Amino acid sequence: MIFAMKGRKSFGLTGYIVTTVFFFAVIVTTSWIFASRWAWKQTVSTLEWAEGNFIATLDDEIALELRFVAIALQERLGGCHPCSAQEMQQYAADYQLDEINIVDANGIVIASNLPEIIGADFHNTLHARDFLVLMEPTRTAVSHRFRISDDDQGAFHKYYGIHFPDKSGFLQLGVSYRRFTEQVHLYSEYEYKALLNGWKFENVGHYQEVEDLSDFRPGKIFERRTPDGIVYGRYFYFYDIPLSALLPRSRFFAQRDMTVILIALALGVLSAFFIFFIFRLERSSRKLAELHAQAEARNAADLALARRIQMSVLPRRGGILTENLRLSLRGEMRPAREVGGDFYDFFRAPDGRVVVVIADVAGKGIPAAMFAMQAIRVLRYYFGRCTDPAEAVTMANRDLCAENDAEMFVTVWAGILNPADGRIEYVNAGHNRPFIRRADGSIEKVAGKGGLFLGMFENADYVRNTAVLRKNDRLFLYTDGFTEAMNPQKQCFGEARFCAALRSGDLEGALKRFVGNAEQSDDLTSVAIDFFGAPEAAERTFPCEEASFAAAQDFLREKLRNIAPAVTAKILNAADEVIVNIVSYSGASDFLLRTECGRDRVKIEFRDAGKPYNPLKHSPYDMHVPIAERPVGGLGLVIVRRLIHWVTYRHIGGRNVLVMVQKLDG
Amino acid sequence: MEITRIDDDNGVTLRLHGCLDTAAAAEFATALEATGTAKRITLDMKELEFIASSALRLLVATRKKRGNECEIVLSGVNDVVGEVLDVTGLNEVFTVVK
Repeated sequence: MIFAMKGRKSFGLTGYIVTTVFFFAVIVTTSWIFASRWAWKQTVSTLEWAEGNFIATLDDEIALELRFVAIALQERLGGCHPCSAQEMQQYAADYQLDEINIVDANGIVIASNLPEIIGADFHNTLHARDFLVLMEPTRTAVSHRFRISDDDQGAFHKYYGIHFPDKSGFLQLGVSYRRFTEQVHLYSEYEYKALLNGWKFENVGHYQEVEDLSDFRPGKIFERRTPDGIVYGRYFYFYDIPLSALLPRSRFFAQRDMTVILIALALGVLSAFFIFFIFRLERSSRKLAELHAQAEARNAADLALARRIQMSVLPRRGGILTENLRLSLRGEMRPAREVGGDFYDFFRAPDGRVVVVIADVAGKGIPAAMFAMQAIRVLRYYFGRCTDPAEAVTMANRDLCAENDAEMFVTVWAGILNPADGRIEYVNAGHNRPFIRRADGSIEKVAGKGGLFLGMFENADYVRNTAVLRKNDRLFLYTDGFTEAMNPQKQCFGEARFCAALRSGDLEGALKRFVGNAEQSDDLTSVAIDFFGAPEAAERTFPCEEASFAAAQDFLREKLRNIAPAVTAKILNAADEVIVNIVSYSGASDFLLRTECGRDRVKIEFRDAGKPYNPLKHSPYDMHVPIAERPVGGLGLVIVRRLIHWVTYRHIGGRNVLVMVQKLDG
Repeated sequence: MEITRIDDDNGVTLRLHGCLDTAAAAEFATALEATGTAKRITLDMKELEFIASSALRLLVATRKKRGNECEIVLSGVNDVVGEVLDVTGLNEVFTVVK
């Protein structure tokens, strides 16, 4: 989930809401601005257009009137014939006309209210010539747009012509601009709304004559509040009449409002859906992250426990082998992940020899670890029963093959070391060949005949090899995690560096320096077996009496004379506590004190033939009880256990045997 | 084992030399007894190798007998003795000075 990515700050629900509202506001505002500009432009251009339209509208109105007047007049005349000027002037007065001409089919004026025109030929005047088309069969009327007349300078005139139906001539009527202005006044006072018909739009507004001229300036656009709402207007002149064209603001701005409201509504619904969606997504992703974290925690806990289980199977300390001062065994496993597919093992075989195993399961992690657990059990079982390592490995292989549905396999190097003479009988089942660092510092590969790894081939044969450790030699078993460890430049540590590090004795440091900060890619497992040979041993029997305390202490001081005083003090302190116990409570007549001084540790053994008594089973001294209520006894063994690294009790051959082993290096 | 007694205004100081093992416990008991009603017993352990549990018991017994009237100070405690006092919890009962 992108919203719940680990280590990345979630944008958050609030972030999404704020962003959505922001975009909503931006889009609505932008559309408002654009729509307003559009509405304003439309308003202005409409008002500008209205000026031109005014004259055309007025003209059409007057043309219509003139048509009715002409028809009425034709009826009164009764046909195309000459009339007296007086008669014509009476007609002009009746119909408020400036000019009435009766023209015959040849274009000659035969009657007019203006006597000077009678006899004029329409062919001779440019504008009049237009009316001659009335003599064509298809034309019945001609309306001239009003224009500045040829003779009367600066004055508007409009002419209207209509044929006599028998095509005997036509009637021409003329009105001057005065008639227009009267019409304008008339309209603006009473009927201006009738002009609206001339507009291309309905209900868009009207013209009005301007009475208050204080603000009048042609072309100026103004705003006015009326009971019906805001009206925009534009001043202009018609001839000498100041006029204003008016347009309700709502004509275009209502459209703008509607558009913006629609956009806002649509966007609002979308935003609401989006926020709702994000909310759902956020909630489910949070839930998912929670579940993920829970699962992770559970996995981590499981893995930690698995690691503990795996580690607890490995022999962490020398165990019972600690008592064998001829050897020192040190195993270490560092899995690349929580659990590993490597393992090592060492334990004492029934015949007193020491079994040493190192193994590497193909793969890593849980599957490898589970197979490793199985392998270690199987190997332990057969090495605990067979004296021949080849036999043990063969049997173990058969077992592992039989129970190996997952087809895992494991490389194993297993040996049985005789501490008495340093002889190792071993089997190498596909594992890295170990090295022996001789006492003189030389490095030797344990290169006996190998065999196949375990777990895949049921009938694989394994050969027993033999190697011999001499005094102060070290046998080093390892897994390929060492030689294949990589540095950040992807170079392998390799066998050459590995051998050099073994020679120097600081393998861990050398590996650390080489690998640097590169991630550990494979499990690192090793077992180091130091063969020290026979330790320096001494023993003496002391009677169970008080004088023996000092005598035993002197004996120990003499035997431990080469050891650091701090270590000696611990041993003497512990020995004092043990001897007091034996002398005071065992009932034996004497006890035997035996010392062994090895290369890296000291062993002190106490034997007595008294009543069987395991002091280590004694209930531990409880430090939580207040001092006044604490028992006086039990203190000594608490001290022994604290001061000595390894203390163990056995009852052998009717004797109590208490063994203490103290390491010399701390 | 040698025990040297020094009396001063602060009470009694017992300088312990060697190892306070079981064999030396009797001598140590006598020396502790001889401090009488001293308000403060200082055990100078600079020269002491180790202290056996029997000697610790004597110290605890003295502490029980005298109660809060007598302060027991262990000074110059080495690592071995320190560990023993730590594991027995007695470092909380006595005043321990390194």
